[in-house]
Amino acid sequence: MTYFNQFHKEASERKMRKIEESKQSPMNSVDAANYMKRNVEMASRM
Amino acid sequence: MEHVFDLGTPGPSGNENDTYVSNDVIYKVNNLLNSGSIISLFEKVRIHNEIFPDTFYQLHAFTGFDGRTIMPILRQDLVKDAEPTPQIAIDTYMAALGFNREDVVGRYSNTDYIVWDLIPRKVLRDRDGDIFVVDAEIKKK
Repeated sequence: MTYFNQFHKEASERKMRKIEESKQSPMNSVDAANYMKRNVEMASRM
Repeated sequence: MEHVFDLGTPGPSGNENDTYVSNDVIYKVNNLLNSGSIISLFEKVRIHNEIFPDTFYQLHAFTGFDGRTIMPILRQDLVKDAEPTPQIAIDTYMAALGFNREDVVGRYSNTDYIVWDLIPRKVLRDRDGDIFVVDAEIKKK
């Protein structure tokens, strides 16, 4: 993997770790769909 | 793939994608409206995975209508506990990656790539302030 700079490397690796860790507590698919829809609604008001 | 509803619970749809979610994975059924072709879509995915490796895409399957259309299904890990990102924070994040902001909102470039349509709906921020670009239009210069 080639990174643009040190920030890109550190931030990407940290976020990949977070996503892997979050899989330990899986989200119910209905809750996940509602969460995604809620985010779209929030974004439309920004 | 014959039955896209087997992918999971339907989520929000966009111009180019219908989404389904299951087991912390988002499946995006892509109608190629923005990309124009499968090759262009795969090139976009390749670049996305290079710039935004934390929200990488994988090809999951193909669906479509027999003899008429073909639609790739991409999969991406769900980013949880995050909310849409204010535009100014997106600007700051892209600057930290070395991209210059252009005159159009949500459009950035560096020496190799142009990234656009980075708007709050497509960029999530978690409670620590980490920013996840989940969807972007990208092309090589």
